[in-house]
Amino acid sequence: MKDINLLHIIISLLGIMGIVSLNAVLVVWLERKTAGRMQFRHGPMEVGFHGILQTLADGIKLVSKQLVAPNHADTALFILAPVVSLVPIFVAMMPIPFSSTMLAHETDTGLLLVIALGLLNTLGILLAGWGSDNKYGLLGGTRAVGQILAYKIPLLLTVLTIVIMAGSFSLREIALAQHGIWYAFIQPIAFLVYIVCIVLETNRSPFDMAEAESELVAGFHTEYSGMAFSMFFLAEYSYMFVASALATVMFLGGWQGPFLPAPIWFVLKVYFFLFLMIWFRWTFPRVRIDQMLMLGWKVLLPISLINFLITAVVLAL
Amino acid sequence: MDNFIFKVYYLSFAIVLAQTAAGGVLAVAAKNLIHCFLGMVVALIGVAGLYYHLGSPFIALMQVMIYVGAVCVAIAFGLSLTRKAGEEGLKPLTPIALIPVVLPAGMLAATLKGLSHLEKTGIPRKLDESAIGWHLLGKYLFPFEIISVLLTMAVIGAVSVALIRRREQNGNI
Repeated sequence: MKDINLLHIIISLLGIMGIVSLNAVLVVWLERKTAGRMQFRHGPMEVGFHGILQTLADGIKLVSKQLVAPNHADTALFILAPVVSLVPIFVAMMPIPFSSTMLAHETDTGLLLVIALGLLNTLGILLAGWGSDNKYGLLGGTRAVGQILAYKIPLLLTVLTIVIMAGSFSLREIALAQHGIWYAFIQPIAFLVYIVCIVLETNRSPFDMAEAESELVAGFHTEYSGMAFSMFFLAEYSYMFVASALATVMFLGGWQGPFLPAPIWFVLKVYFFLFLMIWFRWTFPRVRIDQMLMLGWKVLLPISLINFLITAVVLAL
Repeated sequence: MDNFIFKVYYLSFAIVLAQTAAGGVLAVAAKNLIHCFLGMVVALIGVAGLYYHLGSPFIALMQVMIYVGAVCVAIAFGLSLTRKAGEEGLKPLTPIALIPVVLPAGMLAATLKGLSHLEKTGIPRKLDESAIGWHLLGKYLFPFEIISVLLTMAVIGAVSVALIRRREQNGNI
C-alpha cells in the first residue's frame, strides 16, 4: 500500500490500453490473413499494405453504427454485459512481465490475479445472454457457464503443477525459475492440457460453444450491434493475449532468450500461441457441447490430476 | 504525502464498503431473480475488496476466484436450468424477513461496542501469504484435514443423492 507510484500506474494503464487495442487490430488481421491463406485466397488486401489497416476501417464503421436493444431486453444488463466482459482485462494485464522490470504491478500473487479476473469474462457472456431476451443468446450464455465449470478445474490443476515446481505465484519468479530449461519440456502433459484449456477459456473454435453460428445464430452476442458488439471482440482478443502471455510465462520461460531484447522475445512467444489458436480455429471442426463436456470432465480432469500428483511426489522425493 | 495516502485509502475503503452494502440490498430486494444474482456478485466482489484493503490480497483473490468464479457461476448454471428464471417476479418481502436483518445488526453492534476501546491505527500492513500455508499445514493441520474430509463427504453425498434420484426415475442407471 505504501509505495504506490502514481506516475508508474498512469503510464502502465495507458500502455495496457495501447496493448489491448493494438493487439485486437493485429490479431484480427492475422486471423483473416491466416484464414485466407489456409483456404487458398488472399484475405483482406485493399486497405493499407496487404490489408493491415482493414481492422481499423472496420472499427470506424462499428463505432458509427447505432446500438439497438431489443424491446423486452433487460436494458441494464444489456448495457452492462460488454463492460463486465472488457474491464477486468485492464487489471489482469497489470502483473504480466514483458521483461524482468517491465511490468505494471509487481505482486506475489500475480498468477492468481490473472486467473481470478480471467474468470469474470464468463460473467459478461452470461449477463449478455440473459439480458438480451433472445433464446439463442440465453442458450449461448448457459453453454459458456457449463464450459467454464468443465475446464476450470483442469486449468487450475495445471497451473498448480507449475506453481509447486517454481515455488511461487509471482509471474516474474516463475519465468526466472526456467532459466535453465523451459517447463514445456519438463511438463509436456501440463503444457498440452493448458493449451486445450486456454482455447476453451477464450471461447475459441473448436470450442466456441457460446456463439456456435451453425446452431445458435451468433450465440450470446446475437442481439448486439455497433460498439457493444466490438467490445465483446476486444475482450475476446485481449483474453487470448492474456492467456497466451500466461502460457509464455509458465511454459516458455517468459522474456528470456538470446540476442533479441526481452520484450521482443516475450511478444514473439505470445504471438506464437495466438497463431496456434488461430490455426486451430481454421483446421478443426467445432465439437458438440456434449463432446466438449466429456473432454473436460473425463479426459482433462483425470490427466491433470494424475500429472499434479506425480509432480508433487517427485518434488517431495 | 502520508496524509494524502490515508485519505485515498479511507475513500476507496468507503467506496468498497458502499458497493458491498448496495450489492447485498440488491440481492435481497430485487424482484427479478437475475438482478438478485447480480447483486450477490457485486457484494462478493465488494467483500474481496474489503479483504484487499485489510492487507490480504491473497484472500481477496481467492474470494474472487472461489465465490465469484465458482460459486456464483454454479448458481448461475442452476438458475439457467430453472424455468423462466428472469421473467417471474419474486414475492415481495414479508415481515419475517426482518429477522435476518435485525439479528446480524445486533451482533455487529455488540461487536463494535466490545471493540470500541481499540485504538485507530493507520493502513493495515500486508499479510505474508506464505505464513497462511505454513500455519495451515503445520499448527492447524488437523482442522484443515477435517474440513477437507467434510467436503469430500459432501461431494460423495451429493453424487449418491443424484444417483438415487436418477435410479428412481429411470428404474436403472
